[in-house]
Amino acid sequence: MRVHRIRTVAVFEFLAAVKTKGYLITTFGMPVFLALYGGVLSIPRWIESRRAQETSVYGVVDPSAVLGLASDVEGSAVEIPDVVREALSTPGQGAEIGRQLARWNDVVFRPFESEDAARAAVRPGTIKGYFVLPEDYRATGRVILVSGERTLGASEARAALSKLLLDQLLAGSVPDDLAARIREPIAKTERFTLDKSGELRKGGVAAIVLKFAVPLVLMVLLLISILMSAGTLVQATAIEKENKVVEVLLSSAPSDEILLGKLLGLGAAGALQITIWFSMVGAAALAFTASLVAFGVDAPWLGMATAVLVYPLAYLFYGSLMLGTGSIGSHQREANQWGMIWSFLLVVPIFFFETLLRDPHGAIGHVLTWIPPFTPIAVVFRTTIDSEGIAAWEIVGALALLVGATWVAIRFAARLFRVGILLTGARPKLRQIWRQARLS
Amino acid sequence: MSLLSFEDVRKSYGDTVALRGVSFEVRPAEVFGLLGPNGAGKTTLIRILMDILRPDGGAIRLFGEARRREHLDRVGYLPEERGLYTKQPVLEVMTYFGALKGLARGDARRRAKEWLERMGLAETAKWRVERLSKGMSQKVQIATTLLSDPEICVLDEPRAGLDPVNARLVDDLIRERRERGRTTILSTHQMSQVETLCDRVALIDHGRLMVYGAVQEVRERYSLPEVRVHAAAPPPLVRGVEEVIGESDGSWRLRLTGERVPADVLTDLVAGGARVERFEKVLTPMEDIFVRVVREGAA
Repeated sequence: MRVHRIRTVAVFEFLAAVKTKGYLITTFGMPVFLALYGGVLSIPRWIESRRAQETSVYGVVDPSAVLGLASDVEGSAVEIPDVVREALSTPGQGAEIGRQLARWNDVVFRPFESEDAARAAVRPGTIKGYFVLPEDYRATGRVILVSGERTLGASEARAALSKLLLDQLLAGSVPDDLAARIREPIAKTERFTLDKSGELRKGGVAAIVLKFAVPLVLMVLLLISILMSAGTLVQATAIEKENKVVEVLLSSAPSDEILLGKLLGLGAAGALQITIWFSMVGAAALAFTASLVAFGVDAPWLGMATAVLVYPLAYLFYGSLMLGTGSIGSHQREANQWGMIWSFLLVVPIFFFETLLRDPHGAIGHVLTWIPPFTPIAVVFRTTIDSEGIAAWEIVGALALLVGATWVAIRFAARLFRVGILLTGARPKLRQIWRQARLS
Repeated sequence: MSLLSFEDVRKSYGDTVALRGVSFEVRPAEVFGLLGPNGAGKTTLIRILMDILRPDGGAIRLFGEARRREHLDRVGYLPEERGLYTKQPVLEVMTYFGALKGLARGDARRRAKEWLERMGLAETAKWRVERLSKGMSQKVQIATTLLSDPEICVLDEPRAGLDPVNARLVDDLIRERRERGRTTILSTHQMSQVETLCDRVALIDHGRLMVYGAVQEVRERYSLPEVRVHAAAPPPLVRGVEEVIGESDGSWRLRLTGERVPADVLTDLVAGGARVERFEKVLTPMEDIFVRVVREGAA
């Protein structure tokens, strides 16, 4: 193979792909679209939060004299789960906690002498409603809530009143430390997980959930990247076939040089697209990483490094096969249908997801690792979910196997491409195509 | 001396035999006509030459050696089923194909501009290919093929889709190539073009080489012993003339017996009182030869 010829094809294909409107729209428009979509989705929440920040004033008529309010009092009821508080504080999201607490603190209790006076304040909307603590409250715990017609639920007010009542009932009745425990029996939970080696590792349920979510996300991203890049490749070649450029192309360079040039050029365009996407969400990803650390999840560095090595190999493997078989199709739709066969193979490990999750290094994990079409997903999944359970030689061996399989796939695809790309009209039988490919 | 030779080239597609041992050679600085009816095997032969298809048997020699992939940088090819990247600018496409033929990118770009200028298409350099008319696109493709100034150029129906003015431009390009010592293999069904342009021809039918040789020699071989006489009155029936046939243009076709050469017949005609204005040997048109060979092959 002549490198300069491969480079010429690759550069042309790369530039042809990245200059198309479709590519530019998808590359830069997708994140913008997602941001807009997210913005649209968050509008109702924003409106709701604005509404919640308006101070809600409730009256209190207190014949039981439990609260003994002399003037307006701010209520507070909410406890942020410590795991969430910790996770949010680590990446600098403490302000968010403050905002959330403020939202709940915006309940104000105003004492009224009588129910008549409180009702008079409800009607013009001065207060949203009022609570009555009857004389027998201490014995029964019964509270009456009267609210205006436009007030629904008043759950935040009930929660805040409950907290206020608890503080008053405990004050002076029990020692301070006991009162604090009654108010908050579990002030902080320190979570640990016992790993296979018997070592305690910091992190709890959230850590376990996220530990499984990260490889899944990585696997899905890998799948999408490979399928998108290979799909672009098949489509570009089908258009070329429809435009009848191939014969001139094949007379200028051998099929394997063209195929490799196309794979590299369009693969680079796909990789650039993915890089841009990842860069655009970089800030969010950084915040996400900090949260993972807070949750006690170790970044799967080995898995990510393996994914970086596997991606180009997997793309070349599947891309070449999809291109080779896709070239048999007489038009774009048929070419895509041929490509679907390989897409199906690529996602086979997903069917074993539950088993792999339970036992990543079990028999299924091992078998999938050593079957080239399944190697990319299997090896990335295993190294991501439990990097210690897979031996270095196994990773290196699987990558070597993938390199060999990719080389065979390119040679095979080049032969198929050479025959398939010239086919027009009625397609001969697969047996005949294969025979021609062997001879070519 | 041969520049290119096919030696017993064979090719089958399943049960269909496309080439049954074709052998001929192409010489330097000639225009070589590759003729044959549709499905005769011409395209298969060209694709084998260009290493797009592999032969089942036989050999190809190029520039005095067994053909290697590197040789093909010196061979241009304009296929019958041709196209360009429709969404790309004309200049970019030409530069790309020039670079694929081994030219440095800058050189390919410069040559592409020169060729566009020469073809009267300079203003289309930045146009997308899809904006070109059919004729313009055809000219761009011819220019792209000739961009690297290949020593051998295979042109399959180069005049297709061109008006007479542009068709003549193509003929002139082919002649100019011959004058510069370049070889052109012309595959065409336009027999008038073969007669005016080609030095030698090969006619293939059903995968077999049926006719091969210099155009003049082939025409003579397939011609009857006849001469055409332009004269004021019907020529006399002299010795060696079997029949005199009047033609619609006022001339007479004299069928000869073959016992005397045309020059002797002319001498006798003048001696017999005929006022001869023009006297020429009747050569069978290539089109008639083509039809006859193909029909005989079919029979």
